[in-house]
Amino acid sequence: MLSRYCISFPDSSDPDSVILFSTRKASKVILSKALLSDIEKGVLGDKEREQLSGLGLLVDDLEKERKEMLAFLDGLNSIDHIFASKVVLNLDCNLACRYCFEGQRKGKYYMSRETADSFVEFMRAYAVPRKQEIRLTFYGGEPLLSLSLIEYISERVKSLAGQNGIIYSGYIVTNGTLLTPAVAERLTAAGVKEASVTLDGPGDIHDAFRPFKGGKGSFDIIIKNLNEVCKIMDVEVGGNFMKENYYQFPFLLDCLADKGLTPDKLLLVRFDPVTQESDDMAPPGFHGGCGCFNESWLYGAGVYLREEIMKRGYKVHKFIPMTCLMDMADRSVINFDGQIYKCPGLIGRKEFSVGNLRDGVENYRESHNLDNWKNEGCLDCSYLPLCFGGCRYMKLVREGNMHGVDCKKPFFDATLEAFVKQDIKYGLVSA
Amino acid sequence: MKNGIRILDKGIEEKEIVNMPCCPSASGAKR
Repeated sequence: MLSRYCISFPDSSDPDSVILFSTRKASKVILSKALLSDIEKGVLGDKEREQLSGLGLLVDDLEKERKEMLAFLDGLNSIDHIFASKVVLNLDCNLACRYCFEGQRKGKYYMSRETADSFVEFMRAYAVPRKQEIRLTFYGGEPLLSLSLIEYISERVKSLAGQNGIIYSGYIVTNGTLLTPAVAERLTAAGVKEASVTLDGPGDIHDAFRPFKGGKGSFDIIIKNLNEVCKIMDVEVGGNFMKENYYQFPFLLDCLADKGLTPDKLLLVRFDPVTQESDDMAPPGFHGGCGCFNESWLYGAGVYLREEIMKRGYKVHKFIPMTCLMDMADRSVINFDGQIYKCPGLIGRKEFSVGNLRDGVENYRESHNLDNWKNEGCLDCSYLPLCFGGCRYMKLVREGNMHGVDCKKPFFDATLEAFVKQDIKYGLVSA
Repeated sequence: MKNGIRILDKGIEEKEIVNMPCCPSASGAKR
């Protein structure tokens, strides 16, 4: 029988076929309707059954599959060989982005050398004995305001990893204004090989949303930096769109190509909606942003922008199951003060701190409602492997708590077919 | 199409899910 996590889409090129997609494995096949009928009648041949079962599209026992799915995230944790942290080096910034979700949490708060030392010791205790890989993402505020601390931490972790036969990779999420070639050289020398930089649409829109604190636009300097830096380190471009401006983001892609930042120069391009923040956290006067994936404008915007990126040859993430930091035991966010969180959006919300670098991580299963998806409705939902209860952070901002689930079914009903067909059209598949 | 089945994508193993960054919204450029 068909897996509960197998979805069928019409094949627009052949009325006698369908496309089957596994939300659990991201496998895709074109299947004749005659074979689909055989599956439904239970008369499929052994060879075909074996083939489709191997792709996760057929199962022998739906009850057994449900039990497997209940243990799915535990299974991922049991094979997880990676320790990964986002390190909030400061909550300061040289830009004044209108929508920054850190908003009123910002200030002249910087991680001290003592906290950095504690973090390295934390990794020595928790990562080195159990893991094969350490990944650090330097985060802020603007992490390049703490460049010497990035070098201090990264060089120590690189050395710690090397002494213990562990792979170390460093990444940085930066606004790009300070990412000059000289800075990029220092980062790569310290083991930070990849930068994620934000451009919010074409110059006029970007500058309106992401000005320097003095009001001047930041677009031109970022483009200038990226043109040089992409020769030194891998660069990913992200952009944050809103309902009012998403349709103008393709102009950014044309601008990137015009300025020499062609698809071969960038690792990835990704556009995400600006997320809503609660009034006590958001920048004063900003009340916009997306509070829920099930906003109808977002369906079309998400598909449209992904198509515009792909058709110009820029790379995107394939549509596959992705985990939430909260669901992965060895993923964390380390705030500048040494407090540990399970989502960047939760930093500074003391009630959601899950521990600190001195005492380690407490059990947060109940406080973060980790088992919210373990109910009949979610287990019967074909989208479960893509969702696992949705975004608890968005739910917290929207409703003031993480109780229940943040169901994304309407979003997937409206978009998944288009996303899967984009992956097929542009050859984003696993051979 | 062979035997009524054309495989477009063999899909991924669980170890590949682990290898991907968590939640792109949280891991990428959010500011």
